This record gives sequence, structure tokens and C-alpha cells, in this order.
Amino acid sequence: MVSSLRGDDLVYEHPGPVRAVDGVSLELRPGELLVILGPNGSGKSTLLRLLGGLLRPARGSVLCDGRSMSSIGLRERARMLAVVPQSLATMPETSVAAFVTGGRYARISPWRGPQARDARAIGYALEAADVGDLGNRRMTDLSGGQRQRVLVARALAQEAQVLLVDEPTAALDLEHQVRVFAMLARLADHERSVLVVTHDVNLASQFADRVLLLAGGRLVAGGVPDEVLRREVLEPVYGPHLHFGRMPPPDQRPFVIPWLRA
Amino acid sequence: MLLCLPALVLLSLRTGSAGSLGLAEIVRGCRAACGGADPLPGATQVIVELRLWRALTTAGVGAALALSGALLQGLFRNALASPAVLGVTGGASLGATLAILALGGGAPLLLAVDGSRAGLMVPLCAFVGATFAVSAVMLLAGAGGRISAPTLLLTGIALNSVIAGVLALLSALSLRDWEVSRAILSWTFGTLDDRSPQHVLTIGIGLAVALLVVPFVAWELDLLQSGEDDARSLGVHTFRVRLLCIAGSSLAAAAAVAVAGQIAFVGLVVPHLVRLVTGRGHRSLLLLSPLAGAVFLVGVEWAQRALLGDRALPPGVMMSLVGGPFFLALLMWQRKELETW
Repeated sequence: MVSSLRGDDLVYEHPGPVRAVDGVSLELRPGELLVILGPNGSGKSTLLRLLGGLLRPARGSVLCDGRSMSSIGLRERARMLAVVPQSLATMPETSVAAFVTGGRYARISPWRGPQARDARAIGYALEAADVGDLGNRRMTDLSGGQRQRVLVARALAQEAQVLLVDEPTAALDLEHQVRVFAMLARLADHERSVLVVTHDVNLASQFADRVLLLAGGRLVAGGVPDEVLRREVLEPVYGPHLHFGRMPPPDQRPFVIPWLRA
Repeated sequence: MLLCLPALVLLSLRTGSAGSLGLAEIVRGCRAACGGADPLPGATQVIVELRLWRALTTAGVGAALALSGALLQGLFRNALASPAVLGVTGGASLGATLAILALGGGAPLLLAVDGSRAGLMVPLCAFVGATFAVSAVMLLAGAGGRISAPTLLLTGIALNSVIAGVLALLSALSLRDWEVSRAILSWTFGTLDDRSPQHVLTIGIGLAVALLVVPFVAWELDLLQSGEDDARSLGVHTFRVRLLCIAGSSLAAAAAVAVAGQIAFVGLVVPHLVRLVTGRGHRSLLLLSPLAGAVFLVGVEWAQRALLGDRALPPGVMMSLVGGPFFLALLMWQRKELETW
């Protein structure tokens, strides 16, 4: 069964007068790709960390499959949901295979060590993230796009049914941006629910089942891409320098580009 | 390395200021020391036993200091961390100094002489001092249930300064009592002479218990290299890992200080050398560092006794003289790598 994730009235306060996240409620439905958009400093990544249990909300609660996140132990939590960070604090000097094996930490008994099913899960994760040929490479030798896919592979190795992905295309070229989002959409189609935080409005339009828009820590809009990616919704948040259009058929989803009128 | 250690221990038993011993004498003397044979005639049995306990204590101290350093370097993700960082060395020294002041200048010898309660006071107080110092660091740095590594590091350094001040004060106050003053000074230099089975037992138990944490922190420390949040998202209980690392490293280093006084640089240099061979994986680092530490300290002790004879330096002085410049050279050689770690 595909898991659901819900945040109720979430508040998070950094020191200072402004709340990073201010009363946000949302639900990641089973099997969907939900994208959270918002300008810099809108609280997107903080919200993702709250949902992943990496931050404790000042108010509100996070429920995974109906259970409060604070009542779920770290190992069990890692089996239920996986967080794909935008980048790592330090790039470990280890092989890709060893790094992806880290995703099995919550499933490997410290007494019995890795079993055959762990090897199978790691092999599947490497293939699904299209990094099967990088297993013996060192993490420090990879390009930005390869690292991003390896981070997704490690999350897949966790076999969690909820993926929380933080700005997966921030350092990628156009082709890799499309590839990574297509992969996330494929994963959401099948066995997982996927929540992605991104700046990329157009990838969200193309691949998301639903889009939420954050501004100043508050949720200002939500719905299918056609409902959210409209001038009257986006201009109050991003400002006036936007040009709206439609992608080619058959989808004809909305697209938005930054545009300074001459 | 597994073969190096017994070979070096054997060489240490063979060589000394009282002359060389044959292999047969060493084997029989060791068996007699364990109650498995008749003692060697005359003073030979005493010589074998003194060298045996000294070599085993040296091996245990080297292993414990290296394990302590490897755990701390993994915990802080910093190759420059050492047992001194947490105040273990300082706390243990303060405890030992207070015991010496209470019992008199002969206190450090009591453990070797009779193994009585009074004899256990110096190691016991060293343990208590180390535990107290680490507890104080954790209490000061661990507000809110989470300990940040930089806060822990800075708190350890600040506490070490306070302890150093108190130690200097106690040393100054005891200058009039020559025996006490000499005992404190000797503890500060480190000493591996006149060790007894009680010393071996103390360091052995401390090392064995500290080694028990390795299976519970090795992979976790690997995962922590990518950052605390990342490790927690994979299911690593980072607070528990920190506690285990601190407890293991404190116990190992306190046991070492308790039986041998202050010996610098082993905990700093040995894990660094092992890492050059094994890479960054903590499983091999934490298992090989104790072995390498034992080989390192027994080797240095044997070499200086073979070369300098009766003029051999206290181990703390020798390690500072040799280890300091050696580590500086390593820093220069590996500057770029250390910057990025």
C-alpha cells in the first residue's frame, strides 16, 4: 500500500520576527507527484525538513500513514519516508555502491549484516536511477547530474513509499532536469508518493499531479498546474516580469518564463 | 601488524638496562608470571615480570589512546581531534593529581606495590576526573538534547584551559613538598616503568569495554560524514552515536592516563597514519587503530630503550619530541586534504 503524508497547521520559527513556515497544512496523497513552488526564502526547504522529521515544528503535527511523526522512531521513519537532499554537507570519499548501501541502514540488522535482498534492492535502485554503470566510481569524481541521480538511488534503496526531494534540478543542465523529473514522475506513478521542492515552474507544470505555492511561509495557492500557474496567482508572489504561454499539444500545459518587457 | 606486535613485545622483554634475556628464559619467566611454571632463579624472574607488565601496559596504552583518537576524529569529522579535546586527558590528570596530593608522593607506586584500595586511588581518581570533565563538557554543550560538534569542540577547549589552570595552581602549591611535586611532575611526563598486573588489568578492561562500542558506531560514523541531517534521514540515531563515541573514547583515554600518565600525540597521529592506508571507512579504522597504536608505542619504547638505555626519556616527553614534529610534517604534506575534510 502506498503511504500518505500529512502536515497540519505547521509552524516553524527561526530566531527573529518572521516565521519560516506559518500555519501550512498539506497532504501528499498516495501515488501522486506533488510539487511545492515558491520564491527564495518562502520556506519550501524548511517545510520539507519538517515533513521529513528533520525539524520539530513549533506548532502543528506531521502524520505519516495516520501516525504522528514524533511517535515514529528514526529507523522506522527511514523505512517509511526517504529524504533526497539538494546537496550533502560533505561529499563522502566513498564509492557510489557503498554510498547507496547507506540507504539500507534502517533495514540491515547490525547483528546479521547485509542479506541477499539488500543486494537486490541496491541493484534495483542503481538501475532505476540510471546509475547502474557508476557503482565503482567515487562520489567525489561524479558530475552534478550523476550525484543527483545517486542521491535518488540511495533514497530508492531505502524502499520507502514516500520520497521527499529537495531541489533535485538545481545544479543540472536542461536534459538532466527533464530526465530527473521524468524519473520522479515514473516513481510516483507506480509505488510511491513523491513530494518535490523546486524553483522550476515549468517542470512542475509538465510533471506534477498537483502544485502548492508558498510565499512568506504561507500556502497561497494549491491545485493542478492549470489552476496555480496563472498570472493572477503568480504575479503577486514573483512580481510582474513574467511571460505566460502554453506548451505544444497534446498536453498544452502552462509555462512561465522570466521576461523583462523592452 | 598482527605479527609485528608479538615480535615487538618479545623484543621489549629481551632488551633492557639489566641486560638481554634469552628466548627460553623469557618464555619460562612469562609462564611463571602466570602461575604456569616454576620461577626463574634469582632476580631474573623479577626482571622478566617487570618487562612483561611494562610491555603489556605499553601495548594497552597505545591501543587505548589510538582507539580514543579514532573515535573522536570520526565524531568531529576532523583529523585534528584528540583525547585532549574533550578534556579527558586534563580531567584524568586533575583526578590523579588530587589523589597524589591526598595520599602523598608515593601514591603512583601504590598500585604496583600492593594492589590495595589505596593503590587503586590514583587510577580511580583519574577515571573520575575524566568522566567528570566529559560530563561537564556534554552538559555545557548538549543543551536541547542535541550536541553540535563545534560547540562540543569549543567547550572541551575552554574546560581544558580551566583544568590546566587548576593543575598549575596545584603544582605551584605543592612545590614545598618535594616528593609530591616530583610525583605530579612524573605523572605529567607519563611513565611506563614499574607497572604491575593491576596496571595491565586496568588498561585491559578499559580498552575491552571501549572496543564494545565499535560495532555500534562504525557504519554510523561513515554515514555521519555526509552531515547530521542526512544521517538522521537514513535512520541513524545521531545523539546515541555521539554518546557512545564520547563514552568509548573517554573510557579508553582515561584508562590510559590512569595507568601511564599523560602521553601525547598517539591518539592524534596513529589514526591519521591508519587512515592513509585504509581510507575513510570507520570499520577498518576503528579496528586497526588500536592495533597500530599498540605497535607504535611498544615500538617507540623499545627503540628508545635499545638506543638510549638508561637514559631513555619518559614516554610523554619522547612522544612530544618525536610526535610533534612528525605531525607537523604530516600537516604540511597533507594540508590540502585536511582543509577539505
